[in-house]
Amino acid sequence: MAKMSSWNEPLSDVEAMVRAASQYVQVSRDLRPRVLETARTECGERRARRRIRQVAASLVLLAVFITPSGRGLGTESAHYPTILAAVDSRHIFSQAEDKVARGGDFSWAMVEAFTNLRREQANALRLEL
Amino acid sequence: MVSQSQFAERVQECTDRLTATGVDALGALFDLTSHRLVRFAVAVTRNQHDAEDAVQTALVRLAGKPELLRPVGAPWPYLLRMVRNEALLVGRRKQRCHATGDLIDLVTFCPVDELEREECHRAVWSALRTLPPEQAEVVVLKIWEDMTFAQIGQILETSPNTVASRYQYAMTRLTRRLAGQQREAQRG
Repeated sequence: MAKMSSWNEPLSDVEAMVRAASQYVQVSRDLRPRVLETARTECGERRARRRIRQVAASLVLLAVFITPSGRGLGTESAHYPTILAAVDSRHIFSQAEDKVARGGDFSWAMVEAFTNLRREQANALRLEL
Repeated sequence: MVSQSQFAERVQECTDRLTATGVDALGALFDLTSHRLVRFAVAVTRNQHDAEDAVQTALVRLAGKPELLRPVGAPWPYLLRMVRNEALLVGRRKQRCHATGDLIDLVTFCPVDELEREECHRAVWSALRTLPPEQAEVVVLKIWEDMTFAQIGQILETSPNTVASRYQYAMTRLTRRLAGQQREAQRG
């Protein structure tokens, strides 16, 4: 292992030679324009992507805020929340568990419970309309 | 000759401007640092094209995300580390082998009043290329960047003792190689 103190001595001849050669290798002439051009292009693209994302986000927000108020104006749409309130995952799970308790496969029990629920919803909607 | 601390301050100014004004300030940072970054990257990649690719990638990334420098106290060592990481990636991707020490790919310049020393410079660069990259990069940072072993250790993420050891091995090899070349030149 090198002792660090030993390297605090005056520069040796080799170190002086190496130091003198520091400017020998130069940067290619085309590197500067290449770097600046690439940086500008990438920054421009990034800015454009950010703008598109902002516009998309504001459109989505606009759609979210406008849609409920539009529905609120109609008379039929006011009923939907009460009908769709029947969609309760706990209800489906409890139905499925009942079926499993009576013997059967859980996944099939879930399918049946979900089908029943959709049938009930369809009936409810038909009655409402 | 600009001292190491003055240079670091100027890099700090440039990076501050880059953070404040964006990509338009990249030119000044390039003018200030490109030569040092390229010669450091050449030591890692052993090829000027790869070294310039690494420098380009690092600077473009920095221009796109100047906020990378916000938590960094000293931007110059950070920039060196960025370039080193890119150089290692480029080297791994291209898997070039330049153990022969030829200088065909290098863009070189020698002032008229130093023409008689060109052979000496070539010999130094050629000898540097025969070193393993982890030794060559220590030599570059120690001699050309005037860094301490502790500072170099931070950039290379290794202990100062390891850095000192690599430096010692590198200087021994360089001395042997340059002495051999000098003998050959005298004989020729």
